[in-house]
Amino acid sequence: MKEFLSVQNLVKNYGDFCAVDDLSFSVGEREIFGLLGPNGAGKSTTMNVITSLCDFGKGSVTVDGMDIVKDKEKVRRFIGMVPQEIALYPFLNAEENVKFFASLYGLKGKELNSAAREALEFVGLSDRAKMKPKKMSGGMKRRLNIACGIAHHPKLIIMDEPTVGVDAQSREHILGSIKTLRERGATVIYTSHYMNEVEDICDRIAIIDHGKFVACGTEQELISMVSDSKALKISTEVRANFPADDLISEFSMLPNVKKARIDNGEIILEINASCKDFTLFLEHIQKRGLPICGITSESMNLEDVFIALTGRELR
Amino acid sequence: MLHVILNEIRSCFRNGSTLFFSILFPSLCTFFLGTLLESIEVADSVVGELNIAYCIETSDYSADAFEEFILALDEEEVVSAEKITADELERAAEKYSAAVNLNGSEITIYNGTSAVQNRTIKALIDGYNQTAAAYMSVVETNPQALMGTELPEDNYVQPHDFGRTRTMMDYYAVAMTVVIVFFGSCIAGASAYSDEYANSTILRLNSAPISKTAVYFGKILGYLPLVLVQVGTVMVASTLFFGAHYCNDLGGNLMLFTMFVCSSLALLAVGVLLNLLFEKMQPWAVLMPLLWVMLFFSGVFQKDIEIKGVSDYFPSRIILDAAFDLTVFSRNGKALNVTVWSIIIFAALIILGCIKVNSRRKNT
Repeated sequence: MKEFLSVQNLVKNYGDFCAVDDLSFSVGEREIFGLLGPNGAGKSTTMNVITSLCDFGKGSVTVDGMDIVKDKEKVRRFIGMVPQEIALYPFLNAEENVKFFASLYGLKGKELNSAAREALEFVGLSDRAKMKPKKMSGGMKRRLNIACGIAHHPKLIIMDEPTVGVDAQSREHILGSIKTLRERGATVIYTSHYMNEVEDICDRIAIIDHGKFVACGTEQELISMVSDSKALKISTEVRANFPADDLISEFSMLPNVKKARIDNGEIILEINASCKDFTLFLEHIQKRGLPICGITSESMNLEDVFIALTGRELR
Repeated sequence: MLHVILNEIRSCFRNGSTLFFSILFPSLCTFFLGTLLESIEVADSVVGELNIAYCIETSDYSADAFEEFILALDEEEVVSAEKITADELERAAEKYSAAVNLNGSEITIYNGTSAVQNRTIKALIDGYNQTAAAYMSVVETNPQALMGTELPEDNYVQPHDFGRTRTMMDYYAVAMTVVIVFFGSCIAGASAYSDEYANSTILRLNSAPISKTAVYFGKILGYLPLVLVQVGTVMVASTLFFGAHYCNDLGGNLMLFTMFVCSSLALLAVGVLLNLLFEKMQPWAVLMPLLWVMLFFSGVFQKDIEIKGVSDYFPSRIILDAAFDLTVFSRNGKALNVTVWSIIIFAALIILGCIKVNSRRKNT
């Protein structure tokens, strides 16, 4: 995958406070890259640096090979920003808002009209083009906020918690739209407090804390950094006189099994996270003449990883 | 930049509170203040007929002069004079409006029962006294100058009519235009960036490929139609709907309009610069009270209210004086001064604002 955004040894200080401390990462073309971190971790500062909203002390940031300082004007044309705040003019209607922000990127005439129409259609607001933001619901405002950030067809889209405070239906629509944007060729940097969203749409995830990089990778890679095991729970009917200890020691000898125990009629196996074939375990149970009533596999999720790596919950 | 200008124009003219406070409110104020305070020009009480008793207890040249003055008053329709003796002076108050006694170089007024008539008679005698003092001064310094001097005729004092009787409506038409120059422009300018912060749109503006200078000038130019419309509307509405008068001729009115527009632009630049210095300032909360106090003590709402030695230096007072000089006396010197200085201030502040915009720390 071609590298589209590269952040190298980025340092940003606010007086004595170091908001971003030697941060390096890269994002590939057409990738949805999640940026996670607790409040004050340096996510917003990093995003502000990329969008050239704030200067930085050391390091370098390139977008599609162009330096964001030397080629600021060119780079800005490639970037679309969807801030966490609803950034709209209350006295302009939806279409006028989209058109105004797109016009700042050099679009005009028919091109501007069609870009605005397309953006509104993309977020499902084409039938509300003449409606002013103050009359819109929270979800509609969020979608319009996105339309204003993408109308000029940016190659890199920065989305800072675009689903805050929206209903489930709008959230689904927004997440679906982000995937579509990627399919159309855009690279997306995405932050959210909702772990399930990040798990759902991001190709790779970076976790930062205290302005430093903590971990980066796919969801599975991150999980395996924290734990290489998962729990397999097999519900069965273990009789009172059943030699449970024999069964446990037998399971413990099997490949991929780290630990085994029986709890409340349930056989609980701690197995390698990479193990995906459970046939062997089930055959052993059947051989003993025990019925299999149910089977569940529980692995760590991103939230567990986040807590393990940062020591804090995201919210 | 054109898109920023158009956006500002749209935002200005669609903002209900801006339209109300910039255009409708001052027009209504002109009407209500002009109508309700019209009664200020009507006298609280009528002086009525003056019946003056006078007594002369001296025989020098001043006796003739004083008696001639009193008799001249007697020729007026509402004044009658009657000579009395010194014994009658004490009881004269019961019969006459007041009694006046000339004794040597001293004039004594025996007040009657009406305070208004007493003050009127005092004013008349003061007038005589001032004239006598002036003559005495000439007699002492250059008596020959009086040789051959003819006495003034009866119509020596002539009121000059400027062609129109000025009303309270005229006063408030000018005063409210000054109010709009300050409130409309200064507060609009001071909202230029704070509104962008409040709407969070500053994030998008600052990350777009458009220079901060272009956004800055776009905003300033975007306010120009509002300035023209607000001054024009108040002047036209006051004239057409409320019968107020500004200048006597078109040239004067154009000069007045130009002065108000230039003053508005200068105050707009003041507002924008303040907003750049104090980015998240709430103009309605900070500037509004300050402007009210300044306008209040500039005589905008009531012409007699002022702080002696201070009010004359208030910009609102300077603009108000220039406007009245132009409308009442058709003198355009002060208006021209205000216009030129407004243009200079506008240009200087625009340059300062531009420097400030480009030197701002990028930490939005």
